[in-house]
Amino acid sequence: MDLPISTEDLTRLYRFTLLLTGDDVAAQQVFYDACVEGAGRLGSYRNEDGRLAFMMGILRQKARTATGTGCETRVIARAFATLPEEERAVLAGLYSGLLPARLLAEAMKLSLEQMGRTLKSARERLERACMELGEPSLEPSL
Amino acid sequence: MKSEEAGILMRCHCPGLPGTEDPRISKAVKAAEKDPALQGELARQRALDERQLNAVEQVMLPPALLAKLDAAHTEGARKMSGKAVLLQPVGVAILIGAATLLGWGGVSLWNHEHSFPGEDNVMRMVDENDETTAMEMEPKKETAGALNDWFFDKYGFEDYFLPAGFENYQTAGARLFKQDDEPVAQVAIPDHDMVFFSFKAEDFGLNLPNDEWRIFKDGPWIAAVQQHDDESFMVTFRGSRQEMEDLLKAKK
Repeated sequence: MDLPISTEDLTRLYRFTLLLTGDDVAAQQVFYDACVEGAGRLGSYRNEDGRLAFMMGILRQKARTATGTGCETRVIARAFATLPEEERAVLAGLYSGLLPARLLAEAMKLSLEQMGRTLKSARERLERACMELGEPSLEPSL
Repeated sequence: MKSEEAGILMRCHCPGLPGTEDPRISKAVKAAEKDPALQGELARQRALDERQLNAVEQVMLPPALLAKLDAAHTEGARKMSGKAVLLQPVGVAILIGAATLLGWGGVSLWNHEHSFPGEDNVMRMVDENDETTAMEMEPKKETAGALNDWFFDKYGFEDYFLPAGFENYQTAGARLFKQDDEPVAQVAIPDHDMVFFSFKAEDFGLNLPNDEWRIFKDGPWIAAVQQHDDESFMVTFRGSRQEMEDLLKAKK
């Protein structure tokens, strides 16, 4: 499939997908379906940021209806799976480094302030989830 | 920046991710670093982000998935080949599309090569021209160069800047507005129906070599922006690139 997206950005998009779905098998299916659906429309975007924002939108939409397979996956993906969908999408978008913060907020249809509040709550939940899943607390590193 | 605002915007900060910074977020982080009430929160956030980013960066695109995507491409291409494709209506459409894309690719490449840091932010200022009504401007009949004191006295704005050759235009109105909470001076000039903008480069991520013009088109507007140290000036009017080049040449 000829996608006008670099392999580096495809990797970032896959990371975003994995954090959204919380499981490797579901992530691969969502990613494949989104690439097939998006391939024909990516050419209409003028710049790379527009293409990435478009792909993030499709991935997010498909991840909402994806069913988890419950297969063994990374702790971080399982921890992300415990977050509410909006918090998961925004923090996954930030951590995958696909878009500058302002464009990420626009892609998520949030103001910077709203995104800041969402990220605050998302990080708090993520930290709790990581501890419950056996990750050590952050306290010793502070 | 107030502590409460810094405490919210610093959450959009994530160290180590290129392009995730923004002037407002950078300010918030600087404010948080100096604020005893936020320092601990920021340190905790950074530690969490660092650990999570390490984990995220371990995730790679599975080779099998990449191969599946390649296979989908090959399969699609194999279904039709050579002249058979070209003879199909869809083939003709693709040829037309390809020709259009080639042209568009040239335009995109040109745009890319002529883009500059902060371009999106200054383009949003140009968009402000369409949204500003005469009622929002304070009537001001002066020479453009004489507004320095007025902007300072009325708004406390110290960064009003005009390059040589723009001081003597007669103004019709002026105002200071905020874009992303940062001040921008806007001056209406009846000659050519021009609009001048002046602002601090750092506030909008502008980063240009001193005194070099960058010209760009935004809808019916043509704009030229330049920076001198940390002060910036932009001139806009409805017209063509050639008209702007002629105007700037006349100022040299």
